[in-house]
Amino acid sequence: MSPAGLGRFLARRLGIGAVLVVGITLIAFILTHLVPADPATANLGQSALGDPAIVKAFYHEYGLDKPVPQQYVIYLWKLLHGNLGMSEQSHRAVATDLGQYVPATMELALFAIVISVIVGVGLGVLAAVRRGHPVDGGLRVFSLLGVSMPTFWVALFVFYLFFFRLGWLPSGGRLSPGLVAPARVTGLYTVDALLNGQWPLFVNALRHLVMPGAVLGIFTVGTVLRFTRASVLEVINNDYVRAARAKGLSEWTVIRRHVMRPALLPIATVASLAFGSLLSGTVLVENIFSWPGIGEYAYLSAINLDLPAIMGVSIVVAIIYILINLLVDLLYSVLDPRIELR
Amino acid sequence: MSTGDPFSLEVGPLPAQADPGADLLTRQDRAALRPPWRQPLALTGVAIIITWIVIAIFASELAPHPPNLQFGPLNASPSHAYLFGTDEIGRDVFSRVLYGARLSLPLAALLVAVAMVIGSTLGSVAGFFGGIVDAIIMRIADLVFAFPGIILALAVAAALGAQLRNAVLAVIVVSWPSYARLSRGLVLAARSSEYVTSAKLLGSSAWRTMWVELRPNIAGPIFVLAALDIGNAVLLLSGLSFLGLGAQPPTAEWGSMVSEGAQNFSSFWIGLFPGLAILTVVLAFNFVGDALRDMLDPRTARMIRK
Repeated sequence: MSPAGLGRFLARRLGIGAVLVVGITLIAFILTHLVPADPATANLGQSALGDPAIVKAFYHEYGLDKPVPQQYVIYLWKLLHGNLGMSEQSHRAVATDLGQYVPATMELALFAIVISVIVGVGLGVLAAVRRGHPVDGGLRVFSLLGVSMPTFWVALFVFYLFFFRLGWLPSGGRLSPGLVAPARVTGLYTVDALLNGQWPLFVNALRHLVMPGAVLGIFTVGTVLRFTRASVLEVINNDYVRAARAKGLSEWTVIRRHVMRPALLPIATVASLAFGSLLSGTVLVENIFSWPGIGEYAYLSAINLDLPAIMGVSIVVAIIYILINLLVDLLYSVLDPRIELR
Repeated sequence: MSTGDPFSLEVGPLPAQADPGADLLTRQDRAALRPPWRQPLALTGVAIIITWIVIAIFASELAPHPPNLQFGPLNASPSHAYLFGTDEIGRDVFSRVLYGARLSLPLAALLVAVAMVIGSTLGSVAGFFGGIVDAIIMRIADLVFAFPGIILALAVAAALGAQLRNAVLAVIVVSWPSYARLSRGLVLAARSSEYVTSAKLLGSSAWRTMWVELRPNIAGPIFVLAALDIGNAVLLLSGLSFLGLGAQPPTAEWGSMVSEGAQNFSSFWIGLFPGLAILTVVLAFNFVGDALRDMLDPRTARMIRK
């Protein structure tokens, strides 16, 4: 594809993305403002609520005393300048909060997706090669089990076993208490610790990452497994695969060179889609493992009716979704040059 | 469902590949092509679902104790007297798990049914009329899709107040778009067929055409999607209850029972058994949905025709 064509494609997609983000803000705004819930009740103490002056000051502070359409316009205007408002629970800028929590969730989700792609693709190829064999049937049940388990329940079970009973892994958080986070480069503690050469810190961060990351990955392993199996089966009966076998290549080489290449396309799709669903799963997992990410932030904002924070989380997550979808389409044209970006 | 139903009918039509010839049908292909009532996994699923329905109906006869009666020893481990043990205020966990079926099953079925009706109506209208109506409805559906399900559900449930009813509403809000997309696609495909044209020529109104001609022809795949969705609905609903945004204590609801177990690790049975109940229900629906999807999968269908 020509660079100009690529530019047009990117411009168009980013334009659509921007419209989508504005739409998301509208939905989130309507949702959070037209409901019969009073943020003052959720945020002020009993005695403060009794004092009309304090309640009025609270409303004024967060702009809640203006008409709703005007509030929305003010919000959009601030958003344009990167200002997401003040969080009512942390009393900090929502943008600051998100800057702290988003990398934590990204680290968790990336770890989970890497684990589930490695395990899922491996087992998926195995299932396809052993099609109809009991191994295949077993893996089918395994993948259905993976998507059927309540995440919060698995998380508790893993927590019980590896922390409470065996004491192998730390209970929660990103680092042991008392440790200082590595100097920020990416915001991912494991990566930053490695970049700074702080080996013990890396091990500590990784040990904290294992339990929540693995639990989060369980759901996606099943999905990746099924799609890998299906896409390998699509390819494996083709004539050129038979030809590759006929010229005496080992089964492993045939799979690696002639089957996996075309099968990668759907696998890449499903892995990226799974990444989106992982972001949803983080709410429950972060809650249980006290992981300071956007899932936990979303939960706390929701129960405290912290409207600016809910809006901020929605917008950030929507932007991540849109970028992932864009990335998938770009990946497509790299993996299969016949696909035209439009 | 936008929370990432991994097996939803919309996730990726795989790129078209060469048709495998009929002679390539292996024993396993034929096994997969058997109708669901002849597949062991699907049968297992149906058996589990029926068992749970029976439990839900006869919970008061089957359970040895009322769900909220505090009578036994506190935190007793599972034994002959208390099959699943007792919780921290002396309630019988076994009885509570049985009563939990009365909430999770009907509510999940209800919310999937409502989401299906709303979604497929909107989707059919969008597909049938096209133009601006189509654009508006489907853009709203896209928006809800771009919203991660549980975060939207969290916001709705928290804003409306932490109640089971509101959690159900929240899950409906995030579930309808997948039905809208599917039914829109089906209607678009059927709209130009001859039976629809002849109905129009006979003077049938748009709504009548949709109801009489289109509805029966697009119902199959929509019901399959609904079957696949019930498991997810159970998961999402119990997840909200686990977070304290759905059923409130002392209601015997599986998700909130797991969360009660989370507070007392030395009595693992309090959370273990309600979680197993969720797992078996969701797994059963996924077994059935999986077989149904195989049956409707276009690639599989192509093999059948050969």
